[in-house]
Amino acid sequence: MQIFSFVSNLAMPLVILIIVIYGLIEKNKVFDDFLDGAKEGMSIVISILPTLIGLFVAIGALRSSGILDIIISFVMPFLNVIHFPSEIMPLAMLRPISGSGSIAVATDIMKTYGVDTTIGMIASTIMGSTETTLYTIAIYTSCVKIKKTRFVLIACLAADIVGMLVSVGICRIMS
Amino acid sequence: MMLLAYQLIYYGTICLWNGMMQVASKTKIIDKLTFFLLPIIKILFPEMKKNKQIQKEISMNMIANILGLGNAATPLGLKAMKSMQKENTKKEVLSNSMLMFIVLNTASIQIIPTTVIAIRNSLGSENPTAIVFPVWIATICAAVAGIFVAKILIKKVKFKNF
Repeated sequence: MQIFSFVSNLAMPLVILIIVIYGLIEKNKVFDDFLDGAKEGMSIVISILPTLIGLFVAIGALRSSGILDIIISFVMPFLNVIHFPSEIMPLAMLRPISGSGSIAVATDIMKTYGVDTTIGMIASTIMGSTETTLYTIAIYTSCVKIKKTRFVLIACLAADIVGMLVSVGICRIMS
Repeated sequence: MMLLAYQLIYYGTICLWNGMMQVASKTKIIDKLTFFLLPIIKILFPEMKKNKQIQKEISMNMIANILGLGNAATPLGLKAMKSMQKENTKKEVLSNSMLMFIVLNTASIQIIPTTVIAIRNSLGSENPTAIVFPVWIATICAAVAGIFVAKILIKKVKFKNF
């Protein structure tokens, strides 16, 4: 258990160290290369910033206006049919659209129902196995100025839904 | 203001990891790592079979994802997207490779889900890492489902309809 957090803390600095040492061994101009790359990173930042500002405002409005809650209350009866736990529902709805929001909701669920209960485990597993889908699609497409995203949202949401259903299933089996 | 400060740090990491990628791409480590991931990359990105540079960038992004370096994975992924856009024939429409790449990134396969373990730890869990195994199963199922749906839709849905 301790070793997991140790490894994860070590991963980032270790990767940087390995890259720099390799660069030095092969006698590259490490810092010059770094500056070239970092400057290019700056142009990426400029190209995704407007999209992110729009997205954050829209998601904030969706949450605080209560529209999200209304949508949840509509979907609930269908989920009861497949025995999807209703406690998890707010998290499942929020997970694809907001990273910070879903962390807040997941923490809240774990506090309310207990971290090590089945519900707490399901919330944790969903957080660990899925990504903020909408945000990822938005920055990946906007950085290259793509207008037509075809069916990428369908494929990504399919992955999310399967991930969540499997999370529920496996935690029920394990507990 | 909190959000702004957070955002500035985030944009800093984009620059940092783009710089690190630039350093790394001039060494031979990436070639070695790409070699191991090449079979998977060839299946998922058939259009990129001949483009070594893009394969390198895709494998860097995959490695960062697997190691749980979320902050590094995004800038590396954006770099790969830019390179794939150069190969794209219709500049306003997602190419098949770009589509598959986004699906792969939203599935976020990782060995150690660090953020959740930290949250569980802070809430006083008796066993914060107990979710590692369920996360593996769920994330692999999600990734397979995403790839499967994407592959089918790429085949069935005609390009001009979008």
